[in-house]
Parts: sequence; C-alpha cells; structure tokens
Amino acid sequence: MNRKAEVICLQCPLACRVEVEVDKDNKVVSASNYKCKRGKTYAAQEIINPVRVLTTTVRVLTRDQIHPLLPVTTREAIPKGLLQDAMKQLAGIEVKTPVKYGDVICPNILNTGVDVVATSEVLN
Amino acid sequence: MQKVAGKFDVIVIGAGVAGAAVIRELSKYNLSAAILEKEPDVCFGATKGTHGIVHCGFPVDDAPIKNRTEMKGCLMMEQACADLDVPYQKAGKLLVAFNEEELRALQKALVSLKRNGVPGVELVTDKDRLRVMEPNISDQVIAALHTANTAVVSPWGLVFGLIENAVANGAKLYIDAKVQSITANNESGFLLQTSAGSFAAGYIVNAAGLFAGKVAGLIKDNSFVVSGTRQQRIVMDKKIEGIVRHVVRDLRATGAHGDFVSPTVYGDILLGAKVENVPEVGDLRTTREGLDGWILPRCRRLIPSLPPQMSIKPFSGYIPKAGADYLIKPSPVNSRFINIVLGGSGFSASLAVGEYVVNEILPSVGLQLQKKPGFNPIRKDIPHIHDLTDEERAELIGKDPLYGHIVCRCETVSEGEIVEAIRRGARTRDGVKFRTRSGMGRCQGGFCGPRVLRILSRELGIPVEQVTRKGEGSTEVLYRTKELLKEAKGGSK
Amino acid sequence: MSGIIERSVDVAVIGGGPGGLGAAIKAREAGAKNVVLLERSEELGGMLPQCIHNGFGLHYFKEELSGPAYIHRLVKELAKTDVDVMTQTMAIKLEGTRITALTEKTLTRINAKAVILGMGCRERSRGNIRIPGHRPAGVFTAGTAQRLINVEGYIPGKKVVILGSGDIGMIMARRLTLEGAEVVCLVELLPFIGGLIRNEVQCLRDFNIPVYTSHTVSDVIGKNRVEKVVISQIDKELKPIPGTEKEFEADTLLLSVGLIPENELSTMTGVKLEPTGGPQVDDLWQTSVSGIFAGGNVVHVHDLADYVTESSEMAAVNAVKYINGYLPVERKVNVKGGKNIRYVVPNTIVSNQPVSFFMRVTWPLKNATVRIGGLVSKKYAFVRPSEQIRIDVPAEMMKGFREDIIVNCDGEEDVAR
Repeated sequence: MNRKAEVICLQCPLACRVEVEVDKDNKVVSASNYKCKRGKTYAAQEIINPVRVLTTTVRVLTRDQIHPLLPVTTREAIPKGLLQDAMKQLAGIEVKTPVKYGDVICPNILNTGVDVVATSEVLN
Repeated sequence: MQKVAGKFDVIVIGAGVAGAAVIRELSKYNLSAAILEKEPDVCFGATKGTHGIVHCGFPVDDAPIKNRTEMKGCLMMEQACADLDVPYQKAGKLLVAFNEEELRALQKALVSLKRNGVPGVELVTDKDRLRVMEPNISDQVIAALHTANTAVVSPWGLVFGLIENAVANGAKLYIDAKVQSITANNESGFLLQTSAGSFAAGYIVNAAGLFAGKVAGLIKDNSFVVSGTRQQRIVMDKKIEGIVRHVVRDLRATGAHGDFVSPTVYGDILLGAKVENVPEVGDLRTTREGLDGWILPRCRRLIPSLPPQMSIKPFSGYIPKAGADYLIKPSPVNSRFINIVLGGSGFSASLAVGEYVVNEILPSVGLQLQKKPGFNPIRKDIPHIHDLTDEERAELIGKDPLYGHIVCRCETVSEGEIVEAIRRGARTRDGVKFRTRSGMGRCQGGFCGPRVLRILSRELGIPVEQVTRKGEGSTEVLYRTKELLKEAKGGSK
Repeated sequence: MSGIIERSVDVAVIGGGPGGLGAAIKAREAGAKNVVLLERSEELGGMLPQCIHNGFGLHYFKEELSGPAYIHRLVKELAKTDVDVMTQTMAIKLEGTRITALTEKTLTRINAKAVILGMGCRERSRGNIRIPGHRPAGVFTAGTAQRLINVEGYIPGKKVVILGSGDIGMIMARRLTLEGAEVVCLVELLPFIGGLIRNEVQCLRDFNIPVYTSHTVSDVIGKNRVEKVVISQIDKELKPIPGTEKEFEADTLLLSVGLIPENELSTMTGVKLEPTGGPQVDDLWQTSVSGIFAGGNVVHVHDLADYVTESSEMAAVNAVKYINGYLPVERKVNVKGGKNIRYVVPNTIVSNQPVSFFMRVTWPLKNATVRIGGLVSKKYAFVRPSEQIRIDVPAEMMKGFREDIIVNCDGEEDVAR
C-alpha cells in the first residue's frame, strides 16, 4: 500500500506544502509542490520516519517546594510515534539531587539510542 | 445526634453586609450572639457583587423603610469606616442632564431631596463650573445635580470590618455553617441544625440574602419570595484613575437602574450597569450585549474619553429583594424570627438596618438590651504595604520580613498581608483577594495566582490541588504534573 | 530608626530575565563599577525557566537551547561577575534614576547613575478582552498555566480549550497533550494561525488538535469550575455570529491573547510610551527620560529571546557611555511606521552607529518589500504579523541622515494564510 501525505516543509519561511507519496518499502514514488530539493528530502523524512526532539520535565527529589521539576530534553530527535511512550517512561523517574546541567537522566530512552539529559540544574 | 456547638441569645444567619451590620450592633450589648455563614468565608454572597456606592437615595412613596434607613445609613457610613479602618471616599455624585427635559427632572429631584432633608445637594447649571468639577464629562451635558454625601466604600472591606469588630467584642462567627433545619420552641427559642453542628438561639435574624426565603421556609414561613436583578459591571484599570472624580450618573436611568462611571477607593474605575431581570435567581453571568453592547457605549456617552481597552474585570452582582420596600420585620410564623431582605441601595442602608433591627425590632419582640461597658468600636485592617509611607514599610518589614516579599505586583501586596488575611479567616483565593487585593489588579492574578495557591496550601496545611477559588467545587489546579501520565499507564491513547 | 537603606550604584537593572541578565553582565563588562540587578521572583530568568521547549539561543549562543538552558548559561556568566543580584526584590517606585525597592530585609532606595528597564511583558487576561459568561476557576493565561505545569508541578485540568494561536498557545497545546491532558480545540480570532509555522506543524498537526480559525470564545459555563466553553464564528467586526455556537465540555480555558510590555514603573517617572505599550526609545535604547534605558520585551514583544538579550546589552553599553559622559548623540531623526507597519523600533535615531530596526506588519502579505525610508529595502516571500522583521542598517548609511524615516511594507495579498 502506498502512503500519501501533505507535508509542510519547515526548512525555510516559504513553508511549501509538499505532496509526497511513498510505497510499501518507503521509497518515494512521487513528490510535488515544492520549490527546492530540501523540500523533497524533508517531506520524504516526514512521511518515512518523522522525528522530534522531546523536551519535558521529570520530578526531582528536592527540598525546594517551588521547583519540584527538572527540565530535560532528548539529546537528539526520536521517532515521533514514541513521544507519548517516552513521556510515560519519564513520568516514573524521580531524580536525586544534585543534578548538573547535561547530566544523563535516562540513558537510551525506549532503545532509541538517545539519552535524555537535564537542561538545568538543581543543587539540593 | 450532633453536639450543640453553641447556645446564643441571638443567631444571625448570613454574613453579608446586613448580617454583618446586625452582629456588630449586637456586639455592643451584654448578650451572646453568633453569625452563621454557609460559605467558607464571609461576604461571599450578594454583597461581594455590590458597587460600594453609598448615597442618601431618592425617597419614594412605596418604600418607607428604605427611605428611613437609606439616608441614615449613608450618613452613618463615614464614622463607621473610620472606626473600622475601612476605605471610604466621599466622592460626591453628579446626576447629569443632557437636555432641557432632563434638567427639569433634576430640578424636581432637587426639590424632593431638599424636602426630605438630604444635606449637601445643589444643582450645577454653570457648564464651566461643571467642567472644573469633572473635566472629562461629555460636552453634551448641560447640568448636573450634585450630591456631596455620596461616597464610595469597599463593600467587602466593610463586611470584614464589621464582623472582625463584632468578634473582637465577643460575638462568634461560624463559617461552612449551612442551616439545614430549624425547630422552634416557644420557651427558649430555636434549635438549628447546620453543617457546622447544632445551635440553640433565643432569637434568629434571617439575613440570608438571596437564600432568605429558603431559610424562612425552614420554619414554614412562606410569607415572602426573594427575587432580584442582575447588574453587570466592568472594573477598569487604575491607570485611568482620576478620569472621574465623582460618581457620574445618567439621569435616564435613575433609581436602581443606573448607568454610571464611578471612582473606587482603590483607584480603579467602575462602570455600570446593565440591569436585568434574569430567569435564574442569583445568575451571575456576564453577556457580550451587556458589556460591549450596553455598559461601554453608555458610559462613554457620559465620559467620552473612557478607553475600552482598560477593562480589567467584568462581573455581575445580583441584588436580592422581596418587594418594593425593604423587608425588615418579625416573621408572621414566629415573632422571635426576624426576616431581613433589603434591595437596591441596601448597602447604603446597611448600618441603619443593623441599628433598626437591634434597637427597635428585637426589643419589640422581647429582647432585653443592656449596653456592654467594654465595647470597643475600633478595628484595624491588615496593614497594606501599598498604602504605607516608606518609613512605615521599613518598620513593618523589620518586624515581619514577609511584608517585604511582594507577591502581587499589580497591587503591591506582600506575603505578610496574605498570611495575615489567612489568619483572619481567608480560606480561598477569593478570601485572600478581597482582604488584600492580591489578584484584583490589571493582570487578574496571572503573576500572583500560583504564589497565592502555594501560600494558602502552606498556611492551611492542605495540598495545592485542594485550594479553591471560592469554596467547594472551585479547585484551582486539578492535578500534579505527571499524575495524568501515571493514570493513563497501560492504556495507550 | 526607620531601617531604610540608601545606596548608590552606577547601573541598576530592573528585571532578571534574558534581557536584564544580559544587561547586568554587559554593564559590568563595559566598565560600570557597581551594578545591581533586581528580580521580583524567587529565581532568575523571567519567563524562560518555564519555557522548557527548544528554540532559544541559535542567534546568541549559536546553538539551539531550551529556555532553562539559555538562562543557565547567562546565570553562569553572571556568577563570574560581582553584580549584586537581588531576587524577591520588587521595585515599587521610580523617580528619575532613583529606585525604591522592597525586599524581605527592608526597603531600599537605590540611587543609580543609570537605570536599565528589563521588566518584560505580561499577558492579556480574560478581563482585558471581556470574555462573557460565568467566572469560575479554571480560566488561566497560557503563561500562568505554563509556569504551573513546568515549574511548580501542577496541571490546571485535563480537558482544555485554548484561545489564541500565538506561539505560547500552540506550545501549551503540545505540552498539555504530552502531559496526558486532552486539548479539546484551539480557537483563533483571526483567519490564520498567529504563531510560527513550525509550531503549527509540531504542536498542533503532530497531535491532531482541532483548530477553529475566525472563531472566538463567546461564553464560559460553570459556576465554580469551568464546565463548558462555547465558541462562535466571528463576523468582519470580530463579533460572534449568533447561531454558530459550538459547545465543548472542558474543565479549563487557556488564554493566549497577547502580551503587553510592562511599564507601570516606567510611567511613574514620566517615561513616554508608544501605542504598543513600550517606551519610546532611540537607537541607543535610551527612553524619553535621560539616564533611563530599556531593552527586550519591555520595549516591544520579541519573537526571539536572543534579541531580548542583545538589545538589553546594547542598552547597557550605552548606559555606561552615558555615565561616562560620552553618549554619541549627533542629531535626532524620527522613525515612523507607514504602510502595513504596526510598529517600528527604535522611534528615533540619534547616533551614527549601525541600527537594527525591529518591526511587525499589520496584515500578512506575500512578495513583500519593506523600505526603511530611503535607506534600505529588503524583500520577503512572506510577511506576517507573528513574525518580527529585523533589518540592520550599517553605520555608513546612517551617517548624516537628517530626515524623518518612514517605514513602509508593500506586497501582494496572501490568500493562503
């Protein structure tokens, strides 16, 4: 079964609405309505394996009543379809202090090979 | 079987302005008195939504009790506010005429006011003088009836002041005390079952406002029906403080039905009012037609430079009434049970109503009054950083550092004030707001909201998710972050 | 004994967000001896600690960072300086360059040689736009909800309607969905999405969030807590059309309906404001009051935190020059927005230095040209109110320029958006 989609290209402000179609082996069968090559490549990526950087928070065991959360990010983008599962996994994590900026909070989340790291720090 | 929480000579039901005035008056005498409120705080009913304009009123034929209490109450207000440390500003009122016909109506009104002995009234027909008095008034206004005694007061400030003073003088306040049943006993009075326990009372003063009919129904008194009108209004940013100095009011809409632009004791400007009969008694909704279709254009007719984008809070009040005149009399079912339902200008009249009920009605049905020698009429409000001098501020912070931590940026309200408000009875965000003004300013709690929730949680010893805006069912935040993900575990979206 | 503290400093910075932090660091670097930074909140960073998403720093740090990460870097820089940082400190009065501030210690009067305003902006509230209906708990501005969810650890509710498709509104739609709440729909008054296309794709489309453009919230139902939100289609005058109501069950309404520069303090001492709510500034970021400079969102609402930091740094550098008595004022030329320009900053040009002009258009156009008076023009495939335009004009072009500068934007109507 071929899959078709309209992908809004985010590579430049033109924001082409690229019509793209792939076959069952994820080969691009057709692409149209784009103004440059980047649009075609981007659209193919978006239909074959869209990825997103996930930024969220985890709970931190701290005395600080006002800041019970630590902001975190995946170091690289992970498959879009895994975002909700990644959120659920991170919801179960409680981090001990001190946490330094860049500390790995969850290594290799959902076997993506991508680590989740702190984007702030909580010292105590 | 609930244990008796208290036995009192007099119990007042309902902690709005009428009940507050009665309990404070009762606290001047050697007797035991309590006030019961079904909400988690006082002043959570109709009084919360009044405009706080206090005036001597226009005498009308079919309302003798209103006539006698309104002017008297208005003239009592200044001293009471001074005693109770309640913001009061004698702004005066300008009732304006746009044409000759309206001018003739003003002339008639002047005669009527003078005949009834209302002090400080005059007709201003000199357009130049009018513009000196009120520089932003419409060019189309040709004359105005000036009533010097009209004042603006903080409605909730007055209720807090009256009740705190009553309690300081020995009266008791019970919140979350919804009266569920009343049993009359001819010998000793009444037994009341409430959500806060049972009470015995020799006399009951039913000041339950909107719910007075229901409360009277508990003793099978169905002699009156409470109805009322909804009044939509808009609070404007105090950036335009001074756009009016007086309460400027349209003659087209006198009586309870007033289009007005009013200063407030806090510097905000208050616009009103879209007055309506609505199907649901106590309905507090605002409508687009009311706000944008009625209030703004009509108030801009009075003050053309009024900027609509300065609106910070539209709201509705609901003024309960039980007929053309105020209802203040013993129940036909049991004379030891006094019903009070005021109506338009009830806030102006409230102090005189308290006096009337305690000094005339209750003795007429057998209550013995004996002055309490130690009665202290003075009450101090929470110190407000906003209103102090720099020296006073520094001194207060020296005593309690929390007064140096500003929580509400728009109204300059400190954590110290919020903690003190909670100590004085605030249990909810509205309770804090009405006592301190935190969240009443232009950002409407955007900045201070989360901080106030935290302080309430800490001081009351309850989780943030249980802090409410105004009592049961009005929780501010419902979950902890991550809680929803744990709930959903296993199932996929 | 009053306990009032009087102190004198070279530069006082009001506000510890991305602008104030940059200004304080830069002021010290540029040679100001005593620099004090006043922040009313418990922590530094302004709005950024709650902006846990990416998109910050590409311009300033040449690296894409989250809001907390961006602030972390600035705070680390600040920690290397001897800037006196006062958190939980509220400036309550400004008289010229003298500040009255409150802290838990006491009331402090700070006599500064120069002041840099960095108070940022605040969100418009429900009352500003007069959404009718009941007034229950559960109506929040998007930024307040963002702070609750990302910093304080509370989620307002789990069935949410969002009004306003600006970036914060869209980012909150994604954030709430990821945290397990349901975003019932997002409602936008204008016929097009207000924020960046990237956010439209990654915050709305990614999560199939229903969007209603040319709609507004016409009623809020629920006496105690929000129970239902009613939306209506709007007519050309932006008024709801009767009969087009749609009712959604929801426990929460979030408002992302605009930001207003926060200048209550500035106006206390007579700083003149523009209709946008920000102070009039010249190209040296000085306001109409001598010695008071301003940068970042207190002047106008920026798309990028990077530019907030940058403009505040420029304000700081010039504040130090002012203190030292060599502010390079040559002449005064007015800058005015013309065709399809909602506002332009700076409002006057006084120096011969390079100038960055910031502006927003009123209406979206395609194949557009923006002309900065007779100085420069720049072509754009699209211009949109949501996307700030920045045009840098080099020093040599500014030299000797004496006429008022009118900024115009021409182009073709953009039907697609």
